[in-house]
Amino acid sequence: MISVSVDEAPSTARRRESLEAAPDESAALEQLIAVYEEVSLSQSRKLEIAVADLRRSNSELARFAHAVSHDLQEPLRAVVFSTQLLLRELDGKLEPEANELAADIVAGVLRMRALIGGLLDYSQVGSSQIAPRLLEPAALLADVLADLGPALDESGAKVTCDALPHVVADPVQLGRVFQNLIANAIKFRGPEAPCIHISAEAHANEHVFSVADNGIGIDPSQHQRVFALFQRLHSPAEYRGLGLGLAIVKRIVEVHGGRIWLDSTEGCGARFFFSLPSDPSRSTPSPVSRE
Amino acid sequence: MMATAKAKPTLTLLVEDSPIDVKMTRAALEGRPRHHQLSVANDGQHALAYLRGEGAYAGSERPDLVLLDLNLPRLDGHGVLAAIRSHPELRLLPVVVLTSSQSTEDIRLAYEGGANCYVTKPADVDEFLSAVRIVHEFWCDTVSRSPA
Repeated sequence: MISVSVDEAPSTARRRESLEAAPDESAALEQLIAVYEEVSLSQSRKLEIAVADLRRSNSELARFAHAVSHDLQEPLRAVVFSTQLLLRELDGKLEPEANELAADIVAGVLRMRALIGGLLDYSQVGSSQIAPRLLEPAALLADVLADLGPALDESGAKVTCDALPHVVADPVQLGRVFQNLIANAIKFRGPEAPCIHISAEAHANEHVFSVADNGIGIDPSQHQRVFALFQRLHSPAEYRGLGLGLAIVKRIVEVHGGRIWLDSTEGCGARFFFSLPSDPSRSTPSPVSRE
Repeated sequence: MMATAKAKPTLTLLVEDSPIDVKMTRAALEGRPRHHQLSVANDGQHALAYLRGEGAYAGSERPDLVLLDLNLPRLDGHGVLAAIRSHPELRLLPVVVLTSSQSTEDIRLAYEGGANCYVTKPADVDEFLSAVRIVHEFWCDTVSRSPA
């Protein structure tokens, strides 16, 4: 936990005393400005330290998740190997019930592996690998739809899209946001073929994008839960998945300085919104420092 | 010129602390047509002592190939690799990193440190056996190694 305290420096306190005793107005004003500058300087220094602390603890957290994920993979792989080898040794010698148990072991371990892989994936989103630049979401979306081609064809989905404004974002990560939201619209489709509509609205300081579908929808009581890591609204028998997609989407959006929310009721489709800060100057931030 | 069947069996040093991976690597080499020997070091320090012929390892034969895990007790794989590359007689030894880590940082560090190649351990038994066989065949039978 990081706290920012804004105690006054001793010299500031001294200057304040002399300020009260100052007879001349302009001298008082100068002293006031000096006090103000000193306070704001010491505050901004403290803020800088707090930000540096936060950065460090963030990167420590990322390293921690990374290390945990790798260290957990190792013994898990040993379990997979041993189980596979054991089943080979016992091939044909097991009672049906024992076979079922063995299959449960393998399924459980494989799920655990997928979850750890997901944790690793999640921990890497928002790390230092983000490189925002000015981009055209329409071009990005075309790539995403091409990647989703088979799923779109198979479900008979129809995707429509309004004109989208330029934004400053990491192309890979923003592509992932669209990819996840559209894939979800296909996955959680209703009885009819999916109709997916993508639009955007410009506001004062941000662009708000939305992905709307005619799928099964989400009960409002569950709206917050859908974004939490490993939270699922359905049993694995109904829908496969790890409960990871929207958690990653949320993290990506937040790393970009935006927010995510949804509008949906059960049985009536869902509309996911996310905002990205607009960049009126349309300047591309340059992370490259010249030497 | 292709190196044809040598009379001498090849020797591989496996630096690995996971018993199941040792077992699997042994099984992979047993399935290979020619006779191949495998020595195992369970941590980085033993691996270096073996390679330098120190202490209990005096007079040990130099391997043709090192299969090196990264996550090891006492001295990790990157440290072992650095010691091999800075040793006048060991520096040209083929070292294949064989690890469960898929981290881009580990991959980059390994290549920077002079690894001959980097292989992530597959999570499926058959894929693991096949990966070890491919690596072993390539480094022990296919390539021409530096004479010194």
